[in-house]
Amino acid sequence: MSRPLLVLMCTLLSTSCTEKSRTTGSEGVTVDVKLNTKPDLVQDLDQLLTTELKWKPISCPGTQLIPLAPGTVKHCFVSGEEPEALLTRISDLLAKRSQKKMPWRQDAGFWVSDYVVQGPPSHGLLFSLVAPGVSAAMREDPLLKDAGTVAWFIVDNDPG
Amino acid sequence: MVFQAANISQQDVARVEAYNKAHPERAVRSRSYRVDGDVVPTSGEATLPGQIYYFDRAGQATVQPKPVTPAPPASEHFWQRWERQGQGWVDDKKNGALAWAGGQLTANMPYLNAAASKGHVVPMLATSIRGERQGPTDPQRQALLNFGQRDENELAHRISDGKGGFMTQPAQEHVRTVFSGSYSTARDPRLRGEPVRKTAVPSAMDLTQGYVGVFQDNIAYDTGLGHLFALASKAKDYKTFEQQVAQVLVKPSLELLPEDLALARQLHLDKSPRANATAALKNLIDFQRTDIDKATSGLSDRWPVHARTTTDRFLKSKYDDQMAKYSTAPVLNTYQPKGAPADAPFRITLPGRIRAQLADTTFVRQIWSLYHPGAQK
Repeated sequence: MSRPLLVLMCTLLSTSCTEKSRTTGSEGVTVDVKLNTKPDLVQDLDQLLTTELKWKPISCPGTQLIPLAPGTVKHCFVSGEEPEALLTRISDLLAKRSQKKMPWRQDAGFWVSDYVVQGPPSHGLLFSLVAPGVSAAMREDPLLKDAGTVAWFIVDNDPG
Repeated sequence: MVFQAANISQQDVARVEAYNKAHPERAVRSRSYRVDGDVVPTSGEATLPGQIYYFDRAGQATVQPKPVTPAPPASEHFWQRWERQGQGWVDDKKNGALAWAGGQLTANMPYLNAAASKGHVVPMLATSIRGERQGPTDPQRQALLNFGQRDENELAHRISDGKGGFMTQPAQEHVRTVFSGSYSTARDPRLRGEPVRKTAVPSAMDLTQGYVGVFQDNIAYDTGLGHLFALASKAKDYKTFEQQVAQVLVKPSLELLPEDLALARQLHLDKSPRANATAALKNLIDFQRTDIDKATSGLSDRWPVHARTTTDRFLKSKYDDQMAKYSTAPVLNTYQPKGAPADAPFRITLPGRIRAQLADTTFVRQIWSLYHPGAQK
């Protein structure tokens, strides 16, 4: 099992992973497992998505009409694959240690799903995927050239 | 002529029937092609007057199934099943009522199992010709054989391997279809699952609170999105729309949309889970009694009486315990302030991540373009 996946699996939910550190027996890799705090969760998600799904982090292409609520974090990525190819892979990555609240749905070209990452403390986690071809602005954005998907996740403190 | 189609409204069918009555020499007749077990033709209200042509779908697993024990006689089979359901019902660790309701679904609804959904994707004509022993006798059939669709269960699939990669799942079945006869639409013997579908499925969903979960999980995003759609349809330009979206999304809570409220009421979410579960249980018990009557028909008179008495006694002893676990507060009331009058508006507070998604300008612009497609090239 890859290190990022192991870290995520331990960090998300698992009550047996709340000690300060643990050593994996077979690989001998020391994983610094911290409490399930949001910075850890966000960091581990970043690592998981960039290594397991080969996503590339980018500055978010749009802006926010209203500021993000306190405690809300949004990170954006591009992937060479199309959104539809990523849906089950994201679900599979998160399936063991989080609960899917709202299954994937597509509105206005954006695929969105909503998860609860159980704690303590618990967090809400929303994934959004869109093909850049959906709008002229994204098609003309050099940052998104050759991208099959623009994706972001948003984490907040509200699991409801 | 329709293939594996849903039914249409009774009102439209009545218009055609009236026309046929007035103009018998030019009467409109329909031809409906169906595959037995397909659930889609059980939807809608009525079929246009005409003839229904049925194909039976026969699937043979490509993987050798485990040996099957011969089925016991009907009455014995019934009692074995009842025993198993009884264990599920009384064992709280297995979610009692939920397990029992699940058992009802699989036992009483053969039209809602996996085979039912497979029944809708079978290309009946091409599959039928493929199964002919002599081979096609004319060019049209030969073309269907060469170029017609294949049943998707006969195809290998590329599926997720659960590790971020993909694996090939071999074909699951060899599929054949056989033409099995035609019937007048006035007397369709194949829709025997329809009463079960209309009554037992909602009942099982009420017992498991299935509708409650789906509604609660989607309502925040749905409400926010619905408000944005309403604004996009009315705003005079994009700048105004953006300003209005920002104003809406900073509100502490948003009012539920009329269509979502109508759906919630249709799903009886304006009643308590306990009230819904009580009604649902009664429906399912009625099905169970029908099952008893079927299983004991042809046996001596004492069997139906004995079976019904045993069932009633069993359910009565468990009924109150199970019902006490359901909430008595209507689900919709959770969207009103505590102690508010019944006509108070229903509102929901959007979590920060949903506000952030709805406030993203790439997303907002896309919603605008749905209502104003000429706004961008």
